[in-house]
Amino acid sequence: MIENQGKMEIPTDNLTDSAVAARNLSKGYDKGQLAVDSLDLDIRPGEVFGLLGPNGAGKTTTIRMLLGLLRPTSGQVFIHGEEITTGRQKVKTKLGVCPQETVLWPELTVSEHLSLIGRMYDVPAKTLRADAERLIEEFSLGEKRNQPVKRLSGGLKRRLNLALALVHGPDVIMLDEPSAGLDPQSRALLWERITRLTEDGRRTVILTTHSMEEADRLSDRVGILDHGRMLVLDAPDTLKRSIGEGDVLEVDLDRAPSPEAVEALRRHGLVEHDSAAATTISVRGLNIMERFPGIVEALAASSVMIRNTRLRPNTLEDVFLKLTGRSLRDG
Amino acid sequence: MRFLPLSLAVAKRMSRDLFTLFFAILFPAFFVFIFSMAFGKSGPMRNQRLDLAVVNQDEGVRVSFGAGPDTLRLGETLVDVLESLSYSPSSGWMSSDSSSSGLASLDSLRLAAGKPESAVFDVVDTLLESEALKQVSSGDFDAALIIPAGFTKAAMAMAMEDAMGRVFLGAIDKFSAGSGAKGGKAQGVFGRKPTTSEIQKMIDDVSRGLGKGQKKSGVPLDSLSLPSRKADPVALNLAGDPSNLGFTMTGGIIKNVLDEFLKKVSQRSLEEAKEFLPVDLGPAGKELVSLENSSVAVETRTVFDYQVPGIIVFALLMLVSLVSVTLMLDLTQGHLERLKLTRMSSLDYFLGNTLPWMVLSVLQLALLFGVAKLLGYHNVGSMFAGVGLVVLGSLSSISLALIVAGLARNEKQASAVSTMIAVPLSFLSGAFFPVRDVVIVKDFFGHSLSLTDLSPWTHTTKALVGMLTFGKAFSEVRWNVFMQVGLTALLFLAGILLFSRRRLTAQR
Repeated sequence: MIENQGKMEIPTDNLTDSAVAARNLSKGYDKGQLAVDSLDLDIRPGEVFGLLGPNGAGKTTTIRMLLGLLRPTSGQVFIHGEEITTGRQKVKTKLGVCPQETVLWPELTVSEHLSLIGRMYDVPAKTLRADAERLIEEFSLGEKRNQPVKRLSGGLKRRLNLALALVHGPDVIMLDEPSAGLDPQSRALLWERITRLTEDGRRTVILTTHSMEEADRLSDRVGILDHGRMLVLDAPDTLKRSIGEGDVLEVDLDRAPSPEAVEALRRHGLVEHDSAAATTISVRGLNIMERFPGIVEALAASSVMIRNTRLRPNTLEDVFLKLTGRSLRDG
Repeated sequence: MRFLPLSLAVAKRMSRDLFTLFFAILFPAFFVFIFSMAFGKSGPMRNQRLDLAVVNQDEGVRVSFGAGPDTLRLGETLVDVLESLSYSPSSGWMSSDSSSSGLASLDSLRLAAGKPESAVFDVVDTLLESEALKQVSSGDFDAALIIPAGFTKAAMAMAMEDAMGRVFLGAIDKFSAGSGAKGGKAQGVFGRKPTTSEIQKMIDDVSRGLGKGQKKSGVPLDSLSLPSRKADPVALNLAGDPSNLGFTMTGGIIKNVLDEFLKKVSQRSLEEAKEFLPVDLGPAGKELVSLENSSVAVETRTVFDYQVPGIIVFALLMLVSLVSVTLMLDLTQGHLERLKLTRMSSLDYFLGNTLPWMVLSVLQLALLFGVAKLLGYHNVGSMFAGVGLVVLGSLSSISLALIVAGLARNEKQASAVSTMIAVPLSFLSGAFFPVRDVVIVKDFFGHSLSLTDLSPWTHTTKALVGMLTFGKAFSEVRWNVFMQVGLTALLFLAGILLFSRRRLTAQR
């Protein structure tokens, strides 16, 4: 672990290939507790990266260090190859942030918010007017453009919160639980917008969320963080295929299977059969569909007819719980 | 120029937040209203004079002006001034009589005979100090002023030293060839810069009335006997009950009157000295002469008139709480963090927040001044004279707010700490009554420095009282303005450093 910046050589290979890179990033607090422990991270341009973790896992600390708001105890952060502390002003224009809380000025209108933040990023006036107008339309804020924010609903405020992260056209957008508190319609709009953000392959989105569905749907890769360490980092499908108790295949039969048939199924996964007379049987296992032909064969061998099948695939939530456990966290 | 959009946003937020506006603008005006009810023309103190017992122990000094010796008694003149203090526009209590000259003409400091209806004091001459103090103890008088035996001697010594010093500084320039004469045309008496002993001899010769030649008015110099330039320091004693507002107000008024009185005495002495040695005066002399143009011309003066500048300073100090809470809200509600993510610099943030509050303080001044005028405030100086002082004062308050917001953990703490600092500071600045002070440096660039002089608001109060209530010129309050600028700069620097370090850099 790198103890302090400058004391040890920090590898800077391939930094320009990454939109966001962290090298040996650690943050310790007064009691010696490490909130983030030797984190290495490479987030590629054009991807949506989901950063997951239970409360107190170190997500917020990591995000704050990636944004340059929190000084790491050791390690470095690079945005498109630019070190965040030395090239802070240059890096700032590349970053757009949508904080978890709606950070808005109640007395200012929607237009005034976009104008203020745009000007604080030095967006030329003409470009700013056009961009603000486009964002107002995209986030369906047109009717409220001249309303003070204090008169907007929670959903509209969250939309504006996100629009402010985009007003200066950043390359890297950090979204901290962007859909929290949104109704299904607004969430659908938001998800569609996030997906479109990375379509051109230029922009990168870092998403933290407690919604596994959101992370699964939107993320190209997810990293699961716990106790300050990155437990896994891969594509959601890969994780679902490799971690957790697996998919569940429920099979309805024309009659109760024989004990031999049940035994034969056990070779393919964990079998749940409530009683000897039950006509439904569940087989649980990782990547269960690859074993489906064997399951059909085992049942056919005992002359049991399959009436119906249902598949409940392994979810990201299953992966998450498998890795982080079911005990409640403080934070 | 990122501070401009930020300033605009802050201004819009302020203008749309009626609660803040009320406290920032209307509250001080409301405060003026309350004070006018209590101390103004329409209040219970209407036509009510302050009761002052005077024990005049002044022995005066012997002087002669060619027409035989006379005794100059400045104590009596001071008592006359206090008795007649009314600020009549026709006479003015410090009006100068240009037709008379000579030290004897100090009598012209006295006002026209008769006590005006609008007199501030009911003055009663008392022979015994013990009797006067007894009357104050029993509540019959607001205060007792004891003028010591050596008052005239000390005042004249001060004036002579001042006048002689200034005149001879001019003389040294004039008589030292090429060392100060304009265009090098002056015919030097010495032909060189005189030595210290030559200067001392010249001063002694003239002050003893032994110089060569004749005075312009025809009075031979050898017939003159001028007061000594050496005397022991004396102190006028004002006794009273500090819990009595009448006493504190009397103290404030007498302090101002005494300052003006001594300046006038110095001015007359200076004119006399110039008669003997006509030379161009240096900048210090011009400052005194410029007093001629300052006249106090208000029809009626009440306690309220002395308090209005103080209320302005009080309002400025209330900004500390408003600004620090606003800054803390920026911090706790995440606005500051959102701005920190942009290209905004520390300076952008400070300027962006400072400018709207400065504008607001000027609006505050205008409203407060307008309300005060409606309620009977008698100002001599123009409100516009106070604008610069108010802008500076608001910067002092914003600087203090930056320090508070740099140290506080939340807006509640900021509000509590600001109030705990601002309210005592407003009292210590002399905003409502004069403060008995502790001198910490006797000579600081020619001025004594007290503990309260370390607060910029003390100088704001003094300069505002001088310019608005007494109609002083800027040159007369420039020391206070200089101190205000210096202290504000220090405070602003400290505020910026602290706030930047704790709030605007990456968190540790």
